[in-house]
Amino acid sequence: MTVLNNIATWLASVPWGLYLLAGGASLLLAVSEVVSSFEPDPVRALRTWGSVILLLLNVTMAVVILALMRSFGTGGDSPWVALAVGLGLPTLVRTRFTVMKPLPGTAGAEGVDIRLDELYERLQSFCRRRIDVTLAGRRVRMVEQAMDRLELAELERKARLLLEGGLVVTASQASGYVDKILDQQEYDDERKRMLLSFAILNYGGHGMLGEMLKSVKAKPSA
Amino acid sequence: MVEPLVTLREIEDNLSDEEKTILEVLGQVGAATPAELAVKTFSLPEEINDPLLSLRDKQLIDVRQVKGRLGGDLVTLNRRGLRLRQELYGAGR
Repeated sequence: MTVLNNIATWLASVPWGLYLLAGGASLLLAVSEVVSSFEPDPVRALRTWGSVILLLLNVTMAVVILALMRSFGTGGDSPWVALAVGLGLPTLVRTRFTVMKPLPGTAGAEGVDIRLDELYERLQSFCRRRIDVTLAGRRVRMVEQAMDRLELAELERKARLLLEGGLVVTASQASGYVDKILDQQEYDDERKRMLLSFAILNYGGHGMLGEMLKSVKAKPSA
Repeated sequence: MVEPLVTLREIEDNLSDEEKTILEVLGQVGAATPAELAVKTFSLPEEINDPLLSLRDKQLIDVRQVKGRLGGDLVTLNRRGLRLRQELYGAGR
């Protein structure tokens, strides 16, 4: 019971609000990074493990730094300090510290850097790749559903509207692209459906292909 | 550790227009199957096979296997490809 009491007392003494503030500010900045990187589809990007790892890491780092500051007794009990930690952390981890720099003209000597920015960039690249692969996998699954449930004629009609209407896609190659796919004698219907589905997904967005999938229950068997 | 820019510029000079287009598209979508890349470049999958193989030989892209009915490959830019793409088209996404 004493141990439990001690834990309860310790938990009650932790200023959760301060940690929430620091972690929340850091989380907000990390979210804005993901959103700005995946502008066309931020919600889907945020719902991936890559994003979760990046966000959790940012929050954890802010909380740990605040805890360190408080343990050193360097004024970490103020909400302003907590906010500064949350907002300042992203600046810190994107910084290259030069610990030692030789005098100008010193031949062959290089400074000593602590490259936090490079470490963070590597972490970002790892998370971004995970997000990219997850999103690509989801697009593939959506196209597989479209191939199963949508008729070739329906996909053709929608793809023509998108690519030949000139409203959404204005590239000159777009106008003949649907015919280019359909004219391939060696392609079976499934391959044509796959390419047209990818076209609708990429040029019309998830919403458009999703609506088409919702509007049909199942493609009638041939 | 950091790729010298002069090397990237040499690689850039040896890229075909198709390869440059694929690099740009990959920079935008992050990862894609060859079929999706073909659609993004208004090509047929067969037409981008050679540029993809060439990019892989130049160690600018990674190709990994994906499961599922569409199966096959998933193409991503590697660090080198990402740096070259940034040189060609700016930071972008």
